[in-house]
Amino acid sequence: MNSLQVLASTSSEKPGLFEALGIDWKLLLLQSIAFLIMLYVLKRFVYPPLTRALDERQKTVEAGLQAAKDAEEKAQKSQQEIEELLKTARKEASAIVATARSEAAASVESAEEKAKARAKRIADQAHEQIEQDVLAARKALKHDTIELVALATEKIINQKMDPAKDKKVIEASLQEAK
Amino acid sequence: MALSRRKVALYMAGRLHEGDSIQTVARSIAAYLDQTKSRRSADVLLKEIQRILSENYDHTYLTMFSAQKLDQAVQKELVRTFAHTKSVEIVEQIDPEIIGGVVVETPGHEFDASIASKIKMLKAV
Repeated sequence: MNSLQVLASTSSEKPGLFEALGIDWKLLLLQSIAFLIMLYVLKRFVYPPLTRALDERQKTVEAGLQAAKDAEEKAQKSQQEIEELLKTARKEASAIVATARSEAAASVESAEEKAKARAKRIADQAHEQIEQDVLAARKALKHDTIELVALATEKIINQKMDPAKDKKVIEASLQEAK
Repeated sequence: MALSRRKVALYMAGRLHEGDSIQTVARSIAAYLDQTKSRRSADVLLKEIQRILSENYDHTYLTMFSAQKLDQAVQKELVRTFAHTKSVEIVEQIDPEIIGGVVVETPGHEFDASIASKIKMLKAV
């Protein structure tokens, strides 16, 4: 208080620093007090809930970040799993394609063999049929030839036969019979 | 009661052996076949009679088929060859179908030396 009085007396005597700067020290004092009161009120009633709210917000954000991180990890893990699955699926698909190709090749080979066997069987049957036809034709030709020979023989003998020749034929037959 | 064919054949052969003419016996056979409605078995009955005559009565029916009339010497030779009984009855038939040669039939035997049969054999080859 003494210092304030000194300061006031000094200022009344001659313009001090505050006056020189145009500052009203009383007003400054009042404002300072008001500021302190304001600071106290803020610290007592405003800052704690605000801090708590900020802390909670921070926690929430951190939790969200953690969740995002977890989600990202899960996503990465899922991606890896998907890639593994895709890899396995690709391997299986490759194996299936290879098996299918192998089976197709085997099937084609089998079909070719069957076709060859069938063709051979048809050729054999045709060959056999031709042989039978040739045999039948030969038989028919032989039969026809014999028929013609027999007919010619019959006609010639009919024309040439006379009692004397007939007698010779009979005598020859009798000789054979004895 | 129907008689068996063998008994009828024995009876007819006996009648022929006793001197009945062929015509008389043939009429009896025809009557029998007509009565028994067995005309189709005439040939079998006649062959049976011939066989009985040959076996029981030493008599042979010799049937000769030829395309032309047979020479007497040939005929005798045929009889000597195929008939071995005391009495022989020859039936000669001309059949141009056999072309040449001769066919001799005795009971239970046939000697076929005809050209027709030789041609038939040729066709059968």
